[in-house]
Amino acid sequence: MSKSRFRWLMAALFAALIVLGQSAPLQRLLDERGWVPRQYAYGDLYNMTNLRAYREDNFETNAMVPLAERPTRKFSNVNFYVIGDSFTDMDTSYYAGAHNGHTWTGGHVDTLQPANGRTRPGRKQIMVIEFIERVLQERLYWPDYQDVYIDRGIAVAGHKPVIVPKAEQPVPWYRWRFGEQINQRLEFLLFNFKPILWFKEQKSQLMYSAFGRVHAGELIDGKLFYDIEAADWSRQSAFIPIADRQIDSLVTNLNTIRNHYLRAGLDEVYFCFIPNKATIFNYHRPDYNHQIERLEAHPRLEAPLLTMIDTLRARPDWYHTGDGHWNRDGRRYFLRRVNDLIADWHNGKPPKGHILR
Amino acid sequence: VYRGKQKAEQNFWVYALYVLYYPQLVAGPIERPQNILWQFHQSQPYDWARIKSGLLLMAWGMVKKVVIADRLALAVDPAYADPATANGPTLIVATIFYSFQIYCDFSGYSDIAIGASRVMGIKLMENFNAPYLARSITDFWRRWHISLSTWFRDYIYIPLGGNRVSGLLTSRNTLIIFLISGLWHGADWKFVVWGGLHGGYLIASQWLTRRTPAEPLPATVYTKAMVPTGWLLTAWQLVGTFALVSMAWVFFRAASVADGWLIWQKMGAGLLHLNQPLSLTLNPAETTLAVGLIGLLLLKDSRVSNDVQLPDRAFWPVLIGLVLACYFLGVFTANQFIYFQF
Repeated sequence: MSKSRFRWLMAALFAALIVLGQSAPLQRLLDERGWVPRQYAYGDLYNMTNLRAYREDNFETNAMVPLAERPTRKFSNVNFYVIGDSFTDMDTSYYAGAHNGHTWTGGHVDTLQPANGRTRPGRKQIMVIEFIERVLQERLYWPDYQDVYIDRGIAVAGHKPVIVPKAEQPVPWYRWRFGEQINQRLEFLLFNFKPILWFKEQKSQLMYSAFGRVHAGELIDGKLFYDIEAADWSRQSAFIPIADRQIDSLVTNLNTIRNHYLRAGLDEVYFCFIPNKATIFNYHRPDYNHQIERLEAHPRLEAPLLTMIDTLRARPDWYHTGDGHWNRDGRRYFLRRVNDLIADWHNGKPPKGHILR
Repeated sequence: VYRGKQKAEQNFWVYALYVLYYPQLVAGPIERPQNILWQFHQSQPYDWARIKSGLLLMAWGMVKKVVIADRLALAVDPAYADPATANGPTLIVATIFYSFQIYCDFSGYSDIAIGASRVMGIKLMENFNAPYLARSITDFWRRWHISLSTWFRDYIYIPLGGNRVSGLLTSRNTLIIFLISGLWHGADWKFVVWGGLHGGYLIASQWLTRRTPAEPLPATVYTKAMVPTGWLLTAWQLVGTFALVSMAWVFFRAASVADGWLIWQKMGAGLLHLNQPLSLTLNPAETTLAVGLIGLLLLKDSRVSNDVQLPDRAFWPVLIGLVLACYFLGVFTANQFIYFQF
């Protein structure tokens, strides 16, 4: 090959890399085709920390409820809505309602179905809102919770945003077409192959054994957690104090969210507080702030609760080693709880009581 | 162009390249047209020796940034974030670390810019010349951020009269350029204090050196035996200059003038209580590594030029070693270069 051709070839190769690094849709396409390794193929905590001991080679199998175990029965007189994030973001065919919608927190992708009430009299509408322990601290104590859970929650006809959104800046064409996170995209594109992971693992191990540092993670008693939910510098940590008056204001905010959806026509809104992985394993620590327990016991909290904390604490094996989420056993448990709930409504016996165990 | 030192550039594309020249666009070196425009008009032949030298400089710049500066930041940031709770010795160490952090961060960027440019055949001016080996504050400013210092000298200090005026006016001119230099870093009183301190150091130095040859201090003030000579003198000058520069950096790094003053007070008290335990966020192994890296940096500054030429048999191991050092010892916490904000 002539020098000139070689130069053009290299220029074309690097230009292609830059285009791929800039373009989210192209990269998604490569990912869907399986041409680049999946970013979270071994768990999200492993993806961030690259500690070999926490790599789950069979992560995908551990994460998914097998097809054969998925419920197939549908209840045509119940519509079911979930607002939540990664813990409850599962294939909605798992849920047993006639309409099953999952709206990512702040995502605004599902719409309340008012027409069903008229066309099929008696159809019930129920909702579960999932709150991860650290997300309560991240979002629910601050005024913009209304923006996240109401204005950009499940769309409700006639609802005007409580929080006036900031004026949308026109997005310049180069940002619209090409993502800003080119470094991260290029890293996913080039450095997620197994031989490269070996280098990442060596570095992570060196950093941990020599300097006691784990990137984006926190190791406590040999268990790996997100640093934001366990480190003392993080405002989302379960090990920083939360005053009673803060819990009181949190309850007020949670009641506001529930009342919004009840007014919109839902028959019931349940809350499901999901503990951080760090508190599943470390709830005996004296500095643990007991946020979920205090919420669930709060006399002013109006929503019925799909409580999971005791069960999950009894089953730490339902959590991944190299991921911050519950594994397929945890998923299966959540799935069973919501499907039972839908079945109860279908049978005309909505569960009674504040805390549903 | 106005002074007749440079012809107006007629070629739009060359002018655009000068304005947008990416290696030094964000944080310098601040190149003047007479240094660089003529190079854009020339074709740059392939020169492997020049490319090797550029690559080595880039790799060394990366080491300075991600291995040294960002590692030191791990200790500096928490101490400066909450100076009220840090003790004196911790703040002293954090301040020394910051002096090296900002040097490695900024000069690392300059090295990468100069190296990348050298690979492409364009010669940029040196921006640093072993500043912590300076033996006086005047010497320090000949070695630190040279492209900005010389810009201030040529465009502000000399037009004001420079040092060809009375002693009082020379002092005024010195103070003016350092106060402007402080404000150049941001509209904040802490930068004014930083600039004022350096201005003050230099004015004091100007007055002391003016009187020394003509009017030596009376012999009763200190005996000849007390005047250090030889290596002791050099060490005293090096350490003294470094200490003065570091004292000024406190205000540059602190969140506010009040914080800077508090840190000064605690550092002063800390000198009397050096037995207090250090509360650095780096563990002992990493602290030792950081100190070793600072030693290596000073050794490199004193012995090896930025234009080092290596034969191929040495070039590849050194380059690969530097790249591996960046990867395995680098701290990747998304720290921007400090000077990107200025």
